[in-house]
Amino acid sequence: MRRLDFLRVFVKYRGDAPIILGPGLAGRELFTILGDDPTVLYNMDMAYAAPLCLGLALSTSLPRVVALEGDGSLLAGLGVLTTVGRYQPPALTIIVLDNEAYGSFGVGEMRTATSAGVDLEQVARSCGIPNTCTLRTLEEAESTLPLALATPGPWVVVAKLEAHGDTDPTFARVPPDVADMGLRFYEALRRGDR
Amino acid sequence: MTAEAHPKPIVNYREEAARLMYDSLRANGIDFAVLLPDTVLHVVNRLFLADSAVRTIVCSREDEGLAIAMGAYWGGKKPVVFMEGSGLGYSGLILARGQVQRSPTLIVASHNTVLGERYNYHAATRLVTQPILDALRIPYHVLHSAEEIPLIVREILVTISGQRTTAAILVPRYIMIQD
Repeated sequence: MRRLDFLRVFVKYRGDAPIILGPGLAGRELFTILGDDPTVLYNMDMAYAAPLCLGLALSTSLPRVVALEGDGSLLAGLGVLTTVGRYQPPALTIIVLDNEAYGSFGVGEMRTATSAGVDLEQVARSCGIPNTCTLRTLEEAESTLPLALATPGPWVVVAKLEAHGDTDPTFARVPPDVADMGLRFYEALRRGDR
Repeated sequence: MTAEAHPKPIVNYREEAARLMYDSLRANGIDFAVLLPDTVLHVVNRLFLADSAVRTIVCSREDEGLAIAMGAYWGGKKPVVFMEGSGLGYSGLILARGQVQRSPTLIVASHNTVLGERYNYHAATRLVTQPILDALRIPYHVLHSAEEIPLIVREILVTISGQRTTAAILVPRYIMIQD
């Protein structure tokens, strides 16, 4: 499954959910689909998209908050899954874009631990997160994402993706400014855009 | 609730100082707390965990806890994060991100560079607590006495709100523990 194709399916079922996206090339691809949306926070530092979304999910009545993490980023902060399992926030969905590689360094040149068999769905399940799945095809994504983005969670969805680096360059040319994004994200949530 | 509801702790806490910290934070609008247990702040943590009006989250590591608190700030809450000062050693990147994107939180952390550091196993803790804050130019105040807690809590929260900056109160051991 190619990441851009998976992200298109995700966007189809996203609804109004705010998104915080981890670092890496996936941001470029989501940016080409969604554009400069104030309720999407791109390029969060490694390991922190999920806990930021956890805090948001625990503190608001938003029906859904989505963390889009790479496998490398989630591996850098696995402890957050124990906290998600402990507090069971129903509005939280964590989607792991698992290409088994640190994608910023060429096409699968630097592999993550998931390439050696670490199963992030089973890790999540062992942490007490009841709603988990691993998606390997777009058909599975089409059938599962509507549930994972609309029914009570927490959810951890592991999307197994091809490792590739041929992303659209638009994002790299016009990256949203990190400081601007933070302020706009906050203001959009306060205004109730989402 | 009181400490009597729990097994006797192995240190002699100054319950009145912990109560003053809790009351001051609540009186000034703190409504979301994240903590990783710490000896010095144990009674304060216990008071927050017993308060059903505040969502208090026990995190697995301090940098994760800061990110949770910053998410809660975006959710409209007024958060505090309790930690041992060693946790700041894990937290440089998320603290920096919070400053850049202006998602602040209050930190209440034990330990500091100068006052009351009696145990050498806190040597590394003492070396990271204030230097991390200094490096990121995050404002902080080291408490000198329990009596100043209400003033410091009130005014540091004014600064956090007015400047949208994270800020910290550092609590020497003698403030909360009678040795």
